[in-house]
Amino acid sequence: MEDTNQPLDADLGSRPGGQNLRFTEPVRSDLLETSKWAMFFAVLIFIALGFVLIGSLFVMAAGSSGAIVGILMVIIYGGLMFFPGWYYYKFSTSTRQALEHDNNMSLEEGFANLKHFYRFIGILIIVVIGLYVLFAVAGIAFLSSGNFPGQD
Amino acid sequence: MEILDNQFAQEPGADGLQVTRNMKVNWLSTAKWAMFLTVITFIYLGFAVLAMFVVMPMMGTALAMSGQSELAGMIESAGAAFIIFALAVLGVMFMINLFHLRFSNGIQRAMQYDSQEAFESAWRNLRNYFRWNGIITIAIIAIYVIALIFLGSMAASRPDF
Repeated sequence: MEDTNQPLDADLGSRPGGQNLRFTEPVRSDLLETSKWAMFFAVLIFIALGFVLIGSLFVMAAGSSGAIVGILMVIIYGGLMFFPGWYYYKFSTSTRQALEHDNNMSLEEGFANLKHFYRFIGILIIVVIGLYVLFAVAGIAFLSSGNFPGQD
Repeated sequence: MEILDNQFAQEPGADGLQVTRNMKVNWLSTAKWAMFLTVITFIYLGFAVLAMFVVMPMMGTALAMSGQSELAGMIESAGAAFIIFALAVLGVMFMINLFHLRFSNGIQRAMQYDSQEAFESAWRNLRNYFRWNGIITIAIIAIYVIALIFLGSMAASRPDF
């Protein structure tokens, strides 16, 4: 039976602690400044994305295989740059709106976007390190296989 | 307006923003990824310091061995200044990374011990992390712009061959 003396989610098992944490004035001002810097970085990322798009247009115009390389550039570089910028932008706008209007939903959305940003960057770094290791291993294997001309 | 702010300062969270379960889940995830990024950055900084003290003398020695002793001498004399400058840059990166580490630790401590102090310290350190990253980025962009203008004016003042 429901125990009305317990919090509603008392029987949900393991859950994050921090029952009594509060958004005090220092936390609010820190979050506000953080969101402003996040907007600054988002703008920089989108400017860089614009340069990538312009550069890929030049690549597409030049060379016979330029179109394919250009499209690949847009997809890979553009995609990899768009998401961090977008997450920072959403974090900044949601957090600022939440702090101005005391809107909990916006604040939750802001923190969710911050988490998405960190997760994206973390996975990106893992993939890049993995590719480096892969190429290093492939390079060493290629060099040590005695792959020289003239040998059987 | 002041009365509203006073009310909030006296009863934080009562009429204002509340900490919810979704937020805490997102914070813990953010803190773990932030710790991962911090570790990767510290490893990178370690390799950079090693590379500086290993690669620079090697470059000078290689150039001396290849007979270009003048160039090697130049590299070695400029090497000390370059190493000091590079150490300063790495030092700044290290300090900025420390803020990130403290943010991650603060969030995890706040969740574990229900510590308002750790919670406030975490957001303060994340703010510092963003602030110093932003300042360094602005400085780098300014240096780029100045260098471009300087190079452009030099190129414009030279007679074309």
